[in-house]
Amino acid sequence: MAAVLVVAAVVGVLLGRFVTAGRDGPSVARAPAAAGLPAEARVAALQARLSARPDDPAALTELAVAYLGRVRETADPAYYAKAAKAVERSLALDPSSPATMTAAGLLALGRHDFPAALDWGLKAHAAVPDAADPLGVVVDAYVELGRYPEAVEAAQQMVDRRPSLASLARASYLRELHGDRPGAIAAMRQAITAGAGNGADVATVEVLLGDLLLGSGELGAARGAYQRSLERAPALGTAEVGLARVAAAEGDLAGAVTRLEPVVERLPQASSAALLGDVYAALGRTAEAATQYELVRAIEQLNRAGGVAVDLELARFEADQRSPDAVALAEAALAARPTVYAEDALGWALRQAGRASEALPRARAAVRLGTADALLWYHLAAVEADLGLAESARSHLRTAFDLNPTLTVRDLPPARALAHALGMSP
Amino acid sequence: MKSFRLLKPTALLGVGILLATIGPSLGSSHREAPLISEDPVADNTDTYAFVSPDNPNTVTLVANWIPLEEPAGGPNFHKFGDDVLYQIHVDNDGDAVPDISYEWRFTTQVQNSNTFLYNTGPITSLTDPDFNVRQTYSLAVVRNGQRTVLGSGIPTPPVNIGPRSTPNYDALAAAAVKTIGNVKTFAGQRDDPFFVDLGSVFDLAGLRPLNGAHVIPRSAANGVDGVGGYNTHTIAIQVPTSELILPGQPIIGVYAQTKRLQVRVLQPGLPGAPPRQQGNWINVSRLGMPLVNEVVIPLGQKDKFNNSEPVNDGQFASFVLDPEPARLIPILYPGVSVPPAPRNDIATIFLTGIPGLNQPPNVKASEMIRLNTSIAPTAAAGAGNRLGILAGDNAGFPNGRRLEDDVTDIELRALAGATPFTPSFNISPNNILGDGVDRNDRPFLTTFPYVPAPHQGYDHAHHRVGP
Repeated sequence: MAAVLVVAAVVGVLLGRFVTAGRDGPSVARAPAAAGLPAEARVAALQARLSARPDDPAALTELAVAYLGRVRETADPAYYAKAAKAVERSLALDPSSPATMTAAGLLALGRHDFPAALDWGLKAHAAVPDAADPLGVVVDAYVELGRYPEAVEAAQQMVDRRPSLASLARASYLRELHGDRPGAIAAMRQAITAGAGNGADVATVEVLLGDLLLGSGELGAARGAYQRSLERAPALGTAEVGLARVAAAEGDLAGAVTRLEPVVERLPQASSAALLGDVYAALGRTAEAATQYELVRAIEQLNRAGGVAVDLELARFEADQRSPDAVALAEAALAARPTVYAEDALGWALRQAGRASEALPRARAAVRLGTADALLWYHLAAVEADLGLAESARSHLRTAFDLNPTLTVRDLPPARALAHALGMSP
Repeated sequence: MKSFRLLKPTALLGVGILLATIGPSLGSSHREAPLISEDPVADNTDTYAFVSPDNPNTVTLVANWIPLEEPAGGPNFHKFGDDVLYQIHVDNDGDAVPDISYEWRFTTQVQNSNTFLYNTGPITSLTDPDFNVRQTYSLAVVRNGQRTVLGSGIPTPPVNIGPRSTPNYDALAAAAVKTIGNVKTFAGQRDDPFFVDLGSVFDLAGLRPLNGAHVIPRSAANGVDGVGGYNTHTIAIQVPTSELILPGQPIIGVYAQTKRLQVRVLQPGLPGAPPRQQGNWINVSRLGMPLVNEVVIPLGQKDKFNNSEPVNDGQFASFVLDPEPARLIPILYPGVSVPPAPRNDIATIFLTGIPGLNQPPNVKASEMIRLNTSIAPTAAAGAGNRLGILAGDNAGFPNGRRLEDDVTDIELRALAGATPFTPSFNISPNNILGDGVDRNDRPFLTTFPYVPAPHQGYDHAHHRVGP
């Protein structure tokens, strides 16, 4: 009978302040402030706990979430299947647990199954309407389904329940999507302050802040954010990638390569491999660039095998590569995820395929929210230039450069060439 | 076979796992921000209220934030939240609405903007230029809706780093104790004064001295203090009793609250309009008695409880009258029986105060620490009987809460019915339940702020063994 008992320690729950994030006793390693891999430690501890008592739905749910953390720590999508199994077993034991529904939603988000994620998030929200966490799943799902007004509403509800790192980071993204960049930066800074103390989460959000600042061309501030993130969590690959992007933006391509090569090897994520490819290409190292681009495709295949829907990410990449299958990928992506980014991917794929007139409505749809992302505006400008709409092209290209003077390694040279062709002063 | 949910007070999933952020260079990959995140600076771990033993015309109120604060906290040392409103409330007429509230707001200033280092050399005073990352605070009191700032720019001491950075720590901490008029105030890092065998109680409610009585028996052992060697951040204030009570009614209700500013996700009007705060504060946590939220309030209600005000605590009454942990005791300790629901005794102890001891007249049931300020201290600070009322020490918990009160053991026994309310359950083993950790790892100070000096980052140890 002991095997079936689930931990709800009498005295433990008396001292519920400990019965919370990660604080379940000295048997679980606590990641110190500037530590390595918290999810790895949690997986080990939970597996030990489950070997003693296998039918523990709460532990299974925690294990699922820890596996999702492992995806991040290793860039290995095989952990999604492990997470799915743990969620399945947990639901079989306790089908009505809001925590497990939320975990199922997180898993669906990770796999880019946004309709399922929304479903789980709304279920969990209905079960515990005053809790903030399920709303995070709901916000993320609505955003990725292009249902922006509902996303804003859910984010407001989330932040009204608990102004925390999680809710403030989401408020930031919604502000960015709607063109309020100073507001996005302010909210991300608030998120960092709110999360003070948890190294791993704050490090993640500091990278998000760095990305925002980098996207605004504020290279020094971006560098500062990425560096602080690295100090907190040296194993976090995205901070290194951010610093590489800063180096590239400053024209230090060699420096960018030095930073990126070890990160791509350690944590092969598609976005970092694509960036490394772009930097090699800018350096004229064409063969090495091609290798990285093949690596991107291999990684996305692995992701697909791990149950992740990758059409949108792949469409955007293949459009940049002028691949013949970019348009089909983008159409499928738009159907599944009707977001401004999917419109942009399809518009860009069409334009790269020489189909500018079909691209135009897509490129316009991509900027319909006023999103503060220079690339969306550059893409629109390029389409308009192709169609001879010079006035609009100039205006939108100016918007792009105002938002971010350095764009990306890949896009800066053609964007500059476009500006020159349009007769714009440098 | 029953299964029990693991109750978690703040986050549903209760695990601080960061989630992936996919770099935006592929632009469209969806943005993932952490969902289940700790919020330690708003995580109120304990609240205390007691008549000051060395100054019995005053009451001392203490509240702690940041649980299990690791002393070796660098490079980003712990501090209070600059975006947080910290409050301690006093209800002096029993209507569950605060009459007097003390408020703390913190501001961090970096002295040298060229470095983010906490200190650039040994910190020999609170104004030492080497003390780079400094946090000061303003203290205000609200009475009948009127807010008066008592002081601002009040310093907090640095955290206790080590012999090179903070060589004479006690002097630094003492310099942060300020007297403003007739009020004493302190805010800063301290040793976490709580003591409990975390490792054992989370192992299916193990109580090491009673290992033999558990459904999965083991040989008896000494308790291990799972909070030993950890720090916290403490806010403490000492106020003349006459400032807090109404004439002829000495019983006050005390609870702490933590708030953040409401945020509006999108600004009305043009994109790019500068962001504005809503101006309202959102409740992030509240804590009076060390029990009700964590044990009694079910998982799905915890955010609701944290957001709520005591005046509405009637909505949680059903949970208090039939607390789940009480039902667990007989299963984990076969042969031990507990009083059946409705547990009016639990409701009395935690929601109204005990008649003849600390129950105000015409009290409205609500979760608060209730302190009868007319009951004189029975011992010097830190020296009271750890079992409080259960040992006949009427100056102890649940009449107020002193640092030395062993709330773990007292509450265990109360849940098991081992109190005068339910005499037929006030027998062994109900009345000997305990985790075997009977005191804090450090002795309490005999003067304000009473909470001991923090453990040093350079040299500290965790998990003291033994009572």
